[in-house]
Amino acid sequence: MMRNFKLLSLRFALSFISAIVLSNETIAQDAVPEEIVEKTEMKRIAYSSKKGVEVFAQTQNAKWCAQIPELKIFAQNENAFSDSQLSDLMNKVGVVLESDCPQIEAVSIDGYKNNTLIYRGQASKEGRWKPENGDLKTKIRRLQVSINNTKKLNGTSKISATVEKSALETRIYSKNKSCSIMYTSTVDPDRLKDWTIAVGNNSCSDNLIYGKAEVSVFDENGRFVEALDGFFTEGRWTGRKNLNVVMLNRYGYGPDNQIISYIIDTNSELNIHYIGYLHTKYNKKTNRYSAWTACNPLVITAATENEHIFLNKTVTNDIIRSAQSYADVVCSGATKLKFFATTVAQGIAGMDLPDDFEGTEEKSEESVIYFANLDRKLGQKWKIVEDKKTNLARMRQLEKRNNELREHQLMMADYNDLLKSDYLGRLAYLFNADRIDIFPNMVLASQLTGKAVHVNIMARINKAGLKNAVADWPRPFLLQRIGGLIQSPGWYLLSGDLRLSKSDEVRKYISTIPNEEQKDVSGLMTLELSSAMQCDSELCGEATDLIGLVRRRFEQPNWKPYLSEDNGNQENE
Amino acid sequence: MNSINKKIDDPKYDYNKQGYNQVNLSVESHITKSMKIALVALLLLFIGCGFFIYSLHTEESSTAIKNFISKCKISNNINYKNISFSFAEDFKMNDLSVNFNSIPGYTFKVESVSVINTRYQAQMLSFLEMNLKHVRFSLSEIVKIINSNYNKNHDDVAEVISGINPTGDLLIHPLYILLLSGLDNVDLDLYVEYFYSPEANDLSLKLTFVENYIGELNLTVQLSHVTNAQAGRIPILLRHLLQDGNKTADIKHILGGVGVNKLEFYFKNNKLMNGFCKYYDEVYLNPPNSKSICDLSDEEKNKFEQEVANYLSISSLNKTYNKEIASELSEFVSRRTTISGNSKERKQARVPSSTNNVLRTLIDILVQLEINVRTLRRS
Repeated sequence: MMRNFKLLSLRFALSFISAIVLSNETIAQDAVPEEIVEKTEMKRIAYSSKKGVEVFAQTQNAKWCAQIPELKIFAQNENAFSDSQLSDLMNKVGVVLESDCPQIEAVSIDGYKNNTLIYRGQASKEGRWKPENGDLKTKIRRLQVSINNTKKLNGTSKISATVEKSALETRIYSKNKSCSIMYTSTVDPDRLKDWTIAVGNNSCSDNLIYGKAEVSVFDENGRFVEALDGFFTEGRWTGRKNLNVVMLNRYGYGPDNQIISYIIDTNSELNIHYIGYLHTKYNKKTNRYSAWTACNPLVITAATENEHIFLNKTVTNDIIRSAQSYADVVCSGATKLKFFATTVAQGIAGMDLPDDFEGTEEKSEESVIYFANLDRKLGQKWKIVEDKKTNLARMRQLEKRNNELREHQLMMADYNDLLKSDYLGRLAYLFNADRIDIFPNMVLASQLTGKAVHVNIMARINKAGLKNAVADWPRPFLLQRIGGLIQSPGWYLLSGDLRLSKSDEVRKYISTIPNEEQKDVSGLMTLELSSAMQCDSELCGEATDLIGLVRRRFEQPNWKPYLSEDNGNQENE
Repeated sequence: MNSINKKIDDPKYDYNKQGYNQVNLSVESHITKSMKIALVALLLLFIGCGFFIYSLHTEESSTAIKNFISKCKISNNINYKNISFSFAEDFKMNDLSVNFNSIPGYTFKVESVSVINTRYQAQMLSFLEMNLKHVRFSLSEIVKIINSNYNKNHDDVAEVISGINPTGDLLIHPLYILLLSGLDNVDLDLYVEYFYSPEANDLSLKLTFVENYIGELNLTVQLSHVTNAQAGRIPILLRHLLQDGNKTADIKHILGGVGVNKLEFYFKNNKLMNGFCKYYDEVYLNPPNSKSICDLSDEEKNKFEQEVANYLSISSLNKTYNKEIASELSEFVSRRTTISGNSKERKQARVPSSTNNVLRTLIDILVQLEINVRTLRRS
């Protein structure tokens, strides 16, 4: 039941987050008064005529200054994006950025030469604006910031994580109630609610502590409990590391398993959310919990409602690679990674394999599509040491069945169309053409326009050579450029350009026919062949076998339409 | 005289001898010499006068015809080489070139137009008999010009032609159907006999049309209640056919409200029907070396007759009559020989003032006249 509750709450949180992330702009627009229309423009913030470089920032509503703005650098020479030159440039741009936009913490960089994108990177204030290749970090950070800001704009609770009862967590305030933290403890919550904190070096502007602070915890009797010095995110102590993540769900399984899930990134195209997990360790001796950390163990879940993307091996591999990249960003020193691909984020599945998860159909978690244990040595690539694909296999089986059903429906649709078609329509289907033309009509069209007309026709070839052939039905005509398409006399479906025969073609033809037929050669036509299909029977009679036509088209020799046995024979005319 | 009155018994005058002849001859030569001269002179005079009158008549008539054509404002549409006269006809125009404004750049050739007889009554043409010999034109050339007139590009033309159906499009694209049936270079003879009585308001028309590929068509129709105004519109219609004008309005005006008293037709097929059937066979993929689809089997005939009878039943409730007509038509389709028909005596039909469906109106008229149709059955 607990698990179901977690599922529900996570699903709620996930859908809430995805709604925000995927329609970020929409929400932003709803939140903004109507008369303010968002305009995206470029503003030049720096340039160097000597180096032929211009730096633009993307503005919204004429404002470019943001926590993580997008910079576009246009250069005349691609050398501008070499390590040394770009570092030099960013050094100077950083000065501009810090002076004009104090809240800035990082930038993403798109580099262009002659309006062609040739470089993608990022730089952060923390890193003294040294450019790095790739923009994953800033992308993640921008996402988190955007979610956070949107929540603040919507006036939602500052506690973004949903706190479950299983979480051994209580909110503890300062004496004047201006500050608070989210405190994990095994102490009775009724006692905890009387505990207090004293905060130093933090303004507590959001009541819950964010950023660096020195916090002392006192019990209900005013006795000192412990000091929490370091960084805080949403009132939760993260120790020396400023995690600053967007938290989703706070829950636990007993004192030894206290967890917070948080969002790492979202791929809106594939509708996948990458989720990480923070945990705090319980020290039985001191009865205290450690600072929240993300890396030990390191678990990443790729959660999606669109489970079918995992049927594509390329996509699955890409997702795993993304998870590996995130692991490098979030925990660069980690050597072990657990990766889950699920249809919905699960607390249990996100932390560990479920106890009873053995990969069998009866016992497997249905929402876990794929699981992998990855290892690496420091400085080397991740390697999959173990993976389980049971549900994936089941999904593939289901997908295969669905595909078969879809194909059957398509075949039935074709079959029903054929039932209503006339013989020419069935021939067209056999030949995979739009239509089969009426030969005398096309001859007249060619004669009246004086031009070749493209035709698809049925004809009987009575003479076939290497380069040309002669047909005698529906009327005598010549075929040119047959190029191996006509091997022997017989009935064919032909496609090509029909035109009036040239005089030398007529002369050659006359020499091969008896005298009594020679008078009828006026208006002789020539077909310049582009494709041909030999029929099995006279007048391509196989076109009367409708079931055969559909089987042939879809390469399903055993297919049957949904017919009773009585009706089965009636359709073959 | 004394020298003549000789006793014949006189042995000097033996009639069997040559002398007798000499005596007669000498008497004759004495008379005809001067008379001969007079006769010859008279003859020459008559011939001269006759020639003079003939040439005067010729010149006057030619001028009159020219003026007539000019007065009708069709001198740009009709040109001819010369006009000849004979006793057999009023006049004959030779080597005509006829241009229709609706087919610019194309000339119809006519070897001769003989106006055999004309009569006027109350300043209206009351009788005309004429013969057109060897009217020649090319259907495909005409179609090309019409298409280019309508700014149809090659793709449009090909698209329309590719979708043509021999029965469904018979009235919609008649020229294409004729071409597809094998008719292109037309060479026809046309005989026309026209009669109109301005007082009685009766009009009759007889047409005989002969073309080598098509065959022979004879049509006789007698109309009543044709007002002078309606009859007077006929030349205007002819002019509008040559030039631009509302031909439909002309036809409506001429025929609206007239009575049809008699109708006879005769058509002898030469090659056109066979050409149409060959085209029909190609459209419906008739296998090689098999009989034509037009050669209806008994079952097919029954089906065809049923369809025709059903179509006729909208105009006629007489099932027996409908069945007879359908039967004759199915025979004609199968045999493609001749078909003829004539209206029943004292039956009359009225042409409506307007119609939405020309074919239906025609069927209604034929049914009212109780047309009796016959097909020649070869043994």
